[in-house]
Amino acid sequence: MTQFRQIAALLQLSLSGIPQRLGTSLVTVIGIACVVGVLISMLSMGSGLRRIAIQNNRADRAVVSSKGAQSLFASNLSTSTLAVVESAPGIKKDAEGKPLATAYVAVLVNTRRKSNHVRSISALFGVTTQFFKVYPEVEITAGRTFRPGLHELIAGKKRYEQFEGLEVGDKIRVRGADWTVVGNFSANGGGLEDLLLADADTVASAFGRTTMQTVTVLLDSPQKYDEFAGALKANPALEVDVKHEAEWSATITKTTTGILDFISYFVGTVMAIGASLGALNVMYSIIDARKREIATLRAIGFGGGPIVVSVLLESVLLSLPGALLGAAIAWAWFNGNTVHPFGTSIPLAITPALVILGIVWALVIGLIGGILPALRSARVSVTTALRAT
Amino acid sequence: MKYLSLIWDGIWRKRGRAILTGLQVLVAFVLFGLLQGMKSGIDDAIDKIGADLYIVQHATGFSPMPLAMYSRLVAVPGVRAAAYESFLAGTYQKPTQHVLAVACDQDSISATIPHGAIVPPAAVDAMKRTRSGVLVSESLARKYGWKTGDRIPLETSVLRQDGSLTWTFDMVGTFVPGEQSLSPDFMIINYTSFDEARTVDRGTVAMYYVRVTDPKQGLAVAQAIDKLFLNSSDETRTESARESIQATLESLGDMDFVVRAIVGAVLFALLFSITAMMMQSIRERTAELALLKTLGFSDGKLFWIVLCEVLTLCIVAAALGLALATWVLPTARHFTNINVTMPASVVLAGLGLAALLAVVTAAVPARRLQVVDALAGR
Repeated sequence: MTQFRQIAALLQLSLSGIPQRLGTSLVTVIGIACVVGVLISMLSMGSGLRRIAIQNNRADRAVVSSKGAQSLFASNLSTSTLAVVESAPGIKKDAEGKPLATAYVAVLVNTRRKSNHVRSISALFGVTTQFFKVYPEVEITAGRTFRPGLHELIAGKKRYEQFEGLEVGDKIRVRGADWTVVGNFSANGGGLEDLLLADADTVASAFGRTTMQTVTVLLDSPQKYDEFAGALKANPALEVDVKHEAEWSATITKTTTGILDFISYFVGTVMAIGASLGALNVMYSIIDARKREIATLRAIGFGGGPIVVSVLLESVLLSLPGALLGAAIAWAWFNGNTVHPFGTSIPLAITPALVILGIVWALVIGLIGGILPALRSARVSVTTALRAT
Repeated sequence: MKYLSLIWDGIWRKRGRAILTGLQVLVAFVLFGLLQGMKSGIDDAIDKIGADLYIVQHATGFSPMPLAMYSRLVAVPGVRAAAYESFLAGTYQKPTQHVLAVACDQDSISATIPHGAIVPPAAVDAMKRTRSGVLVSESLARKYGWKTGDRIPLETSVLRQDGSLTWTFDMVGTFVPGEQSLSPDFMIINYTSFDEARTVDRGTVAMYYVRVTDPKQGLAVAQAIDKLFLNSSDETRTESARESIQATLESLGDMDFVVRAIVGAVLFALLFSITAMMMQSIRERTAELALLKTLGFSDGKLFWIVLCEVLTLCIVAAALGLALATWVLPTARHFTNINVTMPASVVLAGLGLAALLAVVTAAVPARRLQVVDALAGR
C-alpha cells in the first residue's frame, strides 16, 4: 500500500472510532471553541477601531499637524501657521474661490452614559466654516447645523445614541453657559460620528484657546499631495508635519489599537497554551487507549510514518469544529454590539478575516496537541503493546 | 490521613496525565490571577483613598477655577485643610515620553497630602528656596536617570511669557508616591513661579483638594462648598475623591464584562477538560476501586478518596498559577503606568474556585460500583 492510502485508511479507522470516544473528543472541541471565541471577540475590538479610523479616509485629503504630534490634543497650530497652510498650492477651491481647508479646536465636555448614568467625557470640536465641504460624508440627520457665534452644537450618531441629553432641543452645560443641541449628524460610520461639533470661534473664546489643533485640506486631486506637502516642508518658518489622511488616522489610533491588540493576543496565547495542554492530554490518552490497536496495525504492516501522520491529522481535524463553534459563539454574542474602551465607541464586527485567523490558531493548537503523542505512538515496541492490557 | 498514600498514588498513577492536567489548571489560574488581580487591584487602590478627601472641580468640565476661591474654601465649616493644583503636561526629549508636572503650593500640599505622597521636609524647604525647583517621584527619577541638581526641560503646549514652549526645571529632590496612587510617576513644581511665567489661564487652578474633619459629614461639606459658588461663573462640583476616580476609570468602559467573559470561558473549558480526565481515570481503575470495595471501603469513602485526589491536584496547581500571576502583575506598570499589587482576596477567591472545580469534577464520575461487574473487568 502506498503511504497515502495507508494514511487514508488509518484516518478512516480512527475517525470512525470517535463516537466511542465522544467524551474526550468533545473536550478538545470545547476547549478550542473557548480559545477561538475569546480571541476573535477581543481582536474584533482592535480591528473595529482600525476600521472606523480608515472608514472615510480619502486619498485627496491631507492633515497638517504640529511637528512630532502623535495625538489630536498634542498638536497646536497658531493662526499665522493656519494662514500659510491655507495659501499653499494644490488645495481645491470652492465656487467662491476659497480654499477647502478646515481647522478645529478640541475640548472636552461632560456627558452621562445612557446605560449606567455614569459621568463620562465627550470630545467637542470647534470647526471652521469650510468643514462640511472638506468632509462631505457628514450629513445632518435631524434638526439643523449650528450657527456661528451662538452657543449651538450638533451631536454625532455614536454620541447621541449612547449618551444622555444629546437629542435635538436638549441643552448641555459648557463653561457656565447652556449650549443647545440643534441637530444630529451621521458620517458614514467614520470616527467623526463619535464627536460633538460647534463653531470654532465660539468654542475657542469659551475655553480661552489661542491655537487650533490640526488642519485638514481637500486637495485638487491625490496627485497634488506632493506639491502641497513639499511647499509646506520647504517653508523654514513652519514646524509642521504633513500626512495623508490615512497616515494621520493610523498615527492617532496607534496607541489604542496597540493596547487592544496586545491584550487580545496575550490572553489568546495564554488560553491557547492551556488548550494545547488539554489537547496533548486528550491525544495521549487516546493513544494510550488504542495501544493494542496501533500495535496490531503495525504488526500487520502499516508503516510508522503513516501512523504518525494519521494521528497528527486526527488531532488537527478535531480542532476544526472547535474553531467553527468558537467563531459562531463570538459572532452570536458580539457581532453588532458596541463597546467603549478608552472613551471611543467601537461597533464590533466578526469578519471573515478574523474567523480565518481563529481557525489557524485552532489548527496550531491541534498540531501542538498531536505531534508528541503521534511520535510516541510510532515508537512503542510492537510486542510490548500487544501484551498491554 | 491513613488514606494519604492511596490518594497520592491515585494522583500519580499516570504521571504524564497528572502533570498535563496540573499545568492546564496552572495556566488557567495564571490568567484568572492576572485579569481579576488587575481589576481588584485597582478597586483596592481606590478604597485606600481616604474617605475624608474631596475634589473640587469646575461644574461644567475641565475649566480652571480662580485661585481667589481658595481663601473662601478654607473658611467653610468642616474643612480641615485645602490645597490646589494646576497641571503642566509635556514630553521629555522624545514626543513619546510623556511627563506630568503638578504645580502646587508646598505648604498646603503638605497639610492635605492629596496623593498620599511622602515629601521629606528638607525637600519642601529646597522647593521653597528654588523658584524653578522640581521634586520628582522616585520611580520617575529612576526611569530617566535623573539626579538632584539636574536641569530637566519639558516640551509643552503651554506658552511662556518669553515666547517659548519649553519649561526647564532644577531637580532639588525626590518623593515617595502614596500607596493609593494609581499613577505614581509625576513631578511637583512651584505654583507661583509657574503661574507667573505662563500666558494662559493665569491666576487659576485646575482643581482643589479638601480634607474634611469628619468623613461622615463629608457630603454636607461638599454641598456647602458647591452652594457657596452657585450661580457664579465658576460653579463647582465637589465629590469624594473615590467617586471622582471611579468616574475617570469609567472610560475603561466594558472591561469589567470582558474580564468576566474571559474568566468564565477559561474556567468552563477547564471544567470540561478535568472532568473528562477524571472519568477516564476512574474507568481505568474500575478493577482497583472494586477491589477496595471488597476490602470494605464504602461508596462514600471511595468518593472521598477520589475527591481528595482531584482537590489536591487542583489546589496545588491553582496556588502555583496564582503565585506566578502575583509575581508577574507588578510588571504591568511598565505598559500601563497603573501600579497594582495582587490583592489577597483574589488569591483566596482563586483557591476557592479551584476547590469548587474539584468538587464538581469529582461528583460526575462517582457512581455506584458493582463489585461483580468491576472484578469481571466490565
